[in-house]
Amino acid sequence: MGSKYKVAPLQAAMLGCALLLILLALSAPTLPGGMLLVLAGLWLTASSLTLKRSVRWPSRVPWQLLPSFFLAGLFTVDPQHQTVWLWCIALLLMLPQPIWLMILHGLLAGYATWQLKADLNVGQTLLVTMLLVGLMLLGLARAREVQSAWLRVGRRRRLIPGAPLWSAHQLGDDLTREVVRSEREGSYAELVLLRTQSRQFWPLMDRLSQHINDYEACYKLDNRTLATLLISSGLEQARERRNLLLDGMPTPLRCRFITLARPLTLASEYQALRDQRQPLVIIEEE
Amino acid sequence: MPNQDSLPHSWLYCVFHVWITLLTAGAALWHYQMGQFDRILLPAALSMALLTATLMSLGTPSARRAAAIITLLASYLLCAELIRNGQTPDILWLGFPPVLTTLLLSMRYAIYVNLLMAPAWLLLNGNGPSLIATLSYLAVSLAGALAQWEMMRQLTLDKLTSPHDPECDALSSDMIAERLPQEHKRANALGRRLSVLVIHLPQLEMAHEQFGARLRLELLQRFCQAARRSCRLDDTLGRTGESLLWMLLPGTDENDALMTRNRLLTMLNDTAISETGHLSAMVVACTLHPGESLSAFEQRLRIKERALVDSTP
Repeated sequence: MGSKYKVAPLQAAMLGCALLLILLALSAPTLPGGMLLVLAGLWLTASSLTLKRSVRWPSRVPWQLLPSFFLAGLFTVDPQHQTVWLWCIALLLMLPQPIWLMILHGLLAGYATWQLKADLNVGQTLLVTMLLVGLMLLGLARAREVQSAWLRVGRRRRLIPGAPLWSAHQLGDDLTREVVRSEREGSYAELVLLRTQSRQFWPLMDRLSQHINDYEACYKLDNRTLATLLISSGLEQARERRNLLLDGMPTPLRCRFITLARPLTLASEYQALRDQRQPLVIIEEE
Repeated sequence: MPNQDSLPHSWLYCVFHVWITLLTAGAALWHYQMGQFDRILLPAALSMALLTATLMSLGTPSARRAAAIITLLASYLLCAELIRNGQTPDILWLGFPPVLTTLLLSMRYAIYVNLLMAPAWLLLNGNGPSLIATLSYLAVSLAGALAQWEMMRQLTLDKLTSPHDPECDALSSDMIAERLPQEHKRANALGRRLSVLVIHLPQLEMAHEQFGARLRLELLQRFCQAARRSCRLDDTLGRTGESLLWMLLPGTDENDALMTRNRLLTMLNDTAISETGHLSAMVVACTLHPGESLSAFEQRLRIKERALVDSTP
């Protein structure tokens, strides 16, 4: 194994930066500017504390939007004293982000220099603007290094580094493979779908991962539904494992066990689970 | 290694160099127009240095690194001159050098340079650093480091969550190292056989030396295509080294593994590449003995790998 997913040093750096921001806020010349710096410091603290878990949440609204709001706020309430943050717009462009956010950051840069204009003469404004454009170009160049990696992370198949939790896409592939394999091998494989409340999802995932073997995996179909492929040597063992698995599961739960020996598709079984009235449906080989 | 990757080869990077060169030359002209003749010399001289850097940024990776350092130094001097002579608020210019450093250097160097330069920037305005200036400078430097850190976190996350090798249609070495114990366990639990084909592609290194990276990549990808066609759906191909691959064949005994090997070799023989002729591979089949432990099996595979590599002339 190469590099592991370690976040402790980054967390420390984020906390350090938050501390600096709060110290800056205490010595800020105006109150609204200070308040914004405190907010930014608190945001950094909160995100450093949740950094480890944040990999579980797929982010639909990019968090890069928040620092840009802080910058826009600073240049609105106190453009006179917070000029140093102007250059940080280039840092924002360095982060991987969707295109619309890049455009927004371009607009933010224009707005910030407009706000600064009052304190500078024409030549200086021109110089500052041009330098900022140069830095932003460089930021974009840096962002290109990670843009493709960031896009891949967004639709990754392994959802959490090191854990056997995969995406529905991967289940589609593994399902076809397992149908062929279990038939040839003569083992008894079944698709298990479990649906619970969304706040019970991670406890369910923990329980499920205790009950599966190393060669089986969990799949996240949506934020309420988990799936797995149970592979047993025969029907008897499959029944035993099923009982063991269902024992002591969190209560609001709908389960569906379908043997891979019958023709099936993931989409239809997923729909069947959603429509299912009974808490437990088992479809075995006849 | 991070140093190697710190400079992207992208046209934007060259555009930046051109831009900053024009800007410096423009500053010299501006001073000329304004009649500030004592301030012309520095930007005029630096625009020459930056022009050199622009030309270097079109070159090899090491030239590009040198170009970045020249640009950084030139910008430092320009910024220092602005702080000394300008009537602008100093605090505005304090943010510029740490951001530029962050954007031009890799994270570690950027932090060091920013910290080392801190006293210089803070004392430059002549009347001692204020608390706010010090804190602002540190905060901007650290914010830059955080941005770079986030980039690195994305790269690590990508590496740890993508099961595929970045270069070809096979599993990555981390993933195949994870898959072998799983297959071993499954073979034991269900009482099945397990075979592994250990594959060495001797042409890769030669292709890289003689024809460059593009042909090497093509060979690798053509091999993976041929391998996919010669195996079953549930067999797993994974990369364990620069020119080494494993193909895990679950439920396969020694005879079947040898048949797969022959099928693969025939398939490779039919795959022609204009520069090297047909693809060649050295393949050894290895079957799990009943009761053999994982570590013993893995060691046996590694020994086979080494023997294949050593036997290449």
